[in-house]
Amino acid sequence: MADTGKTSRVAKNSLGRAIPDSFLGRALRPYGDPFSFRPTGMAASRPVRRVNPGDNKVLGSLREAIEASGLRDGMAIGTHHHLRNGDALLNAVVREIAAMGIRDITIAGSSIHPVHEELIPYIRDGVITRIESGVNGAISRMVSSGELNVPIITRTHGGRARAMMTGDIHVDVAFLAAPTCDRYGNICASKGPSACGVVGYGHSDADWAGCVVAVTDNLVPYPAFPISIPQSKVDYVVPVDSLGDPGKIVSTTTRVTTDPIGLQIAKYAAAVIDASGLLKAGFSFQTGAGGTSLAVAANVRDMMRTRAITGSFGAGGITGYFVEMLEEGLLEALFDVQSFDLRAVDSARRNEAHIEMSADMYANPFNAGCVVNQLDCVVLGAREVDMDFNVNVNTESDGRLSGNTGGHADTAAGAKLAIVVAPSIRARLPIVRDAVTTVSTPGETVDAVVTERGVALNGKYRDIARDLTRRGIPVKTIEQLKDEVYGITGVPRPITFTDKVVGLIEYRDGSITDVVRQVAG
Amino acid sequence: MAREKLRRSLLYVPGNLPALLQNIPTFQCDVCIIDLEDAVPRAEKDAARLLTRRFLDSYRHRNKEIFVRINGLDTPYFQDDLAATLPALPDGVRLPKCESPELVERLDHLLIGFEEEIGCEPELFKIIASVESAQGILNVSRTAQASPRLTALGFSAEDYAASLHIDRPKSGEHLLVPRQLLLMACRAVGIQAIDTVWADTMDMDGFRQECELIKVLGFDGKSLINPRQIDIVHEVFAPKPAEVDYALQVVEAIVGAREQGTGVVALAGKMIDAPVVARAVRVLMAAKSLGMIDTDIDESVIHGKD
Repeated sequence: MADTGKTSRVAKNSLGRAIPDSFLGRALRPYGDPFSFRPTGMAASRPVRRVNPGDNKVLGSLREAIEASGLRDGMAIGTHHHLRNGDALLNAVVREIAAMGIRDITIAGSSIHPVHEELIPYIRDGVITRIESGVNGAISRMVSSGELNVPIITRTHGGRARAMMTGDIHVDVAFLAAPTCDRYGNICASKGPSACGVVGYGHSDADWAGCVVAVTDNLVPYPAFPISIPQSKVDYVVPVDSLGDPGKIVSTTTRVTTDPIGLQIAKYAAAVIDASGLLKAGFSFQTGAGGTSLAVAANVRDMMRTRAITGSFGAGGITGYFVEMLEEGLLEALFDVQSFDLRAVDSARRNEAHIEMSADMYANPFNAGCVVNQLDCVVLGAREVDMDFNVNVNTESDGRLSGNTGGHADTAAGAKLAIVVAPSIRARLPIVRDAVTTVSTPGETVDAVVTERGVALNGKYRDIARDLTRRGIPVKTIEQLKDEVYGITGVPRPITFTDKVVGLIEYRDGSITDVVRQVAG
Repeated sequence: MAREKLRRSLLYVPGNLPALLQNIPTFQCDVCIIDLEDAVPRAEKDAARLLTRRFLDSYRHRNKEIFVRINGLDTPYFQDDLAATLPALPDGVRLPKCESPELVERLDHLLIGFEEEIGCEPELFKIIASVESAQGILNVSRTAQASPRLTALGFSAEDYAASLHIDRPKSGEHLLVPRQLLLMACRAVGIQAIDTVWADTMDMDGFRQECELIKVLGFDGKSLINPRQIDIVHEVFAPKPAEVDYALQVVEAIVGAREQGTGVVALAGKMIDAPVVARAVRVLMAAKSLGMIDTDIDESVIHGKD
C-alpha cells in the first residue's frame, strides 16, 4: 500500500486545517484563498493518432476494447456518472479487467455511486488501488473506518476538468457510457434506452484520455445526433446489451418539497435573492435538484413572472423545473452539465436553447472562463456549516467520507451570491456548528446560510439585513443560529480520528481544503 | 389591550411530537396552540405534557403567543394538563368543547388557583374557548361574557356538524349561521373570533376560498393544522396599500388631536374616534407583520396614554 501521509509533516492551511505536505508521494499545496493561485505551464497532452478510410472502430466486447486500448497494470481508467445509480458499466469494466489479470488500477471517474459497491472485492484483491473520484456510499465509509484500504481523492466538477487539463490526473483509458452511438463513435446522450440527456462530465475524458472507448446499448446507423461527444475523439465503439437500469438513471420527476420546514427555508432564501438586488433582467441562477432547492426555484419563478423579468440562463444539473422556466420564456437558455429527470432529457434532445455543457466549460478555473463565473446566484445544500461559513458536503455526521463535492465549491466561488440552504437540525444533529468535520467549500465563498430558524449573512451581503428584517425574515449572526440550535440539540460530541489520512478534499484550483482521517474505534 | 394582538393564524402543533415542537419558534404564525387533546393518543398524554413543559421551559425568546389546548373539562386529563404546563408560562389555554359559560367560569377559577400557586400576576393566562356543538352555539352570547380572560372564541366545524348529524360539505353553507352567531357574540363584548380548521391540507385553493369567506364575514383569524396554510391566511388577511395609507393618516390625525387635548378629530370630513383608530391599528399591525411598513404600532394609540 502506498504512503498514506502518516509520516509526512503537517501544516495548517488558511482554513486552519492540518494538511500533510505529501500524500501518495505527491506534494500537497495547502488551500490559501479562492482566486489568487496562478497556474503556469502548458496543458496536458496525449498521443496523436490516425484513423484511415475503411478502418473499423467497432469491437466485439469490453475485453477486446481493453486489449486494444493497451490498458495494463498501474494505469488509470475514467468513466462518467451520468447513469448515476443505474450504471452497470464501471462494474462490468472492472470485472473484465480483473478477469484479464490486470492489477493496480486507479479509478479516476467523475463519481462512484452505491451501485458500485460491487467493486469492494476488487479493491480488497488489489485490482483497484486508488480512487481519484468522489465516492457516494459504502466504499468510502469503509475506507474511513479502515475496513478498506484505498486512498480517495475527491475533486470538484471543475477541479476534475482542471486536473485532467493540467495532467494532474492522466486517464489512460476512458470507458464512456454512450446512450446512443454510431459505428464511428459519435455519442448522443439524449436518445436510447439509457438516455441521460447530456454527458457533461464525460467531455474531459474524451479530450484528455489516452484512449477513448464508447460503450453503447443503442448502436445506430451513422450519424448519431445530436452529438454530445464527436467521433473525432472516440477510438473504439463497443456495443453491449445494456448499460444499466434506466429506472435509476434519471428520476421520472423531481418535485418541490411539501415539507413545511423546507418551504420556510425556501421562502427565506427567495427573500435573500430578492433583497440582493440581483433579480432583474438577465438574472442567471443555479439550484440543486433537492426539494428545498426546487422550492427556491419555484419562488424565484413566481417573482420573475409577477415582475415580468426575463433571466439569461439556468445552469448546472438541469431539472424539469428549469425546463419549464425556459419554455415559459423566463430564461433564455439552459447550460446543462447533467440532466436530472425525464423532462430535462427530453428538452436536451429537442430544444436548441438547452445547451450541453462540459464540466470544463461549467467550472474549470484554469480555462479561458467558465460558466460559474457568469452566475448571479446559486442555491446549495450542506451537511454542516460552521462559524466561518465553511460548508461540509463530503463527510457524514459520524466523520466518514461519503459524498462528492460536485459543483458546490465551484459555483460558490463563481456566483455573485452563493446561498447555502439547510435545516438547522437533521435527525437531532446540529447542522450549524462550531466547526465542520470537513471543509468542502470555504466560507469566504459563501454569502448566506439560510435555515428555518433564520438567515445568517456573510461579507458584502451583510447590508441586506435591514431589508430582510423589514420583510419579517429573522436575520441572525451565524453564532446566534448555532447557539439556538445547540440549545435544542446540545453540543455534539467530537468525533475522534486517527492520524491516518484516507482521503483528500481537493479544491477546484488543486490546493487542499481538507483531508479526511480514519475514524477511530 | 392585548385584545388587539394579531391572531390571524393559530397553528395546532401536537404536544407529543418533539420533532414538531422544536419548530414552533420558526413558524411565522401569530399563535401556536400546543395540543394535548385530540392529536394526542391516550397512552401519550403524560409524554405530551412532559414534552410540552420541557419545550416551553427551553423556549425563552418567545416570538409568538403560545396557547395550550387542554383536554375537555369532562375528561380525567385537564387538571394534569394545566398543572404540567402552566408553570412554563404559556400565554393561555385553549378550552375545547366549550358548550356553556359555566365551563369558562370553571376554568377561570382553576387558573386563579394556578396563578396564586405559581406566584405570577393575576389574569396572566388568557382563554380561547372553542365552541363545538349546537348547544355551544345557542349559549355563545353568554359564553362570550363568561370571563375577562376570554380573549377569543374559536369555532370547531367538524364537531359542530357531527352534533347536527350532518356531513361537512366543503362549501360550508351549513356553517353560515353558527359562524355569524359566534362572531356577533364576540363583537358584542369586544373579543376576537377565530374560525375552524380546514382539514384537507392538499386542497390549498379550497383553503384560500374559505379564508376569503371568513375575512368577509369578519373573523380575526383561523385555526390551522399545517404550517403551509400560514402564508395563505396572511395573504388573504393582508391589508391593501390604500387601507394602510388611510390607517397611517388616521393614526397621525388622532396623535395630533391628542396633543391638542381632544380624543376626536375629523379626517377628510369623517369623524375619527376610538373604534376607527382601533381598526387602523389592526391594519397597521398586519401591515407591519407583512413588511409593508416599518413603523412599530403602539396599542396605546387607540385610547391615548394614561
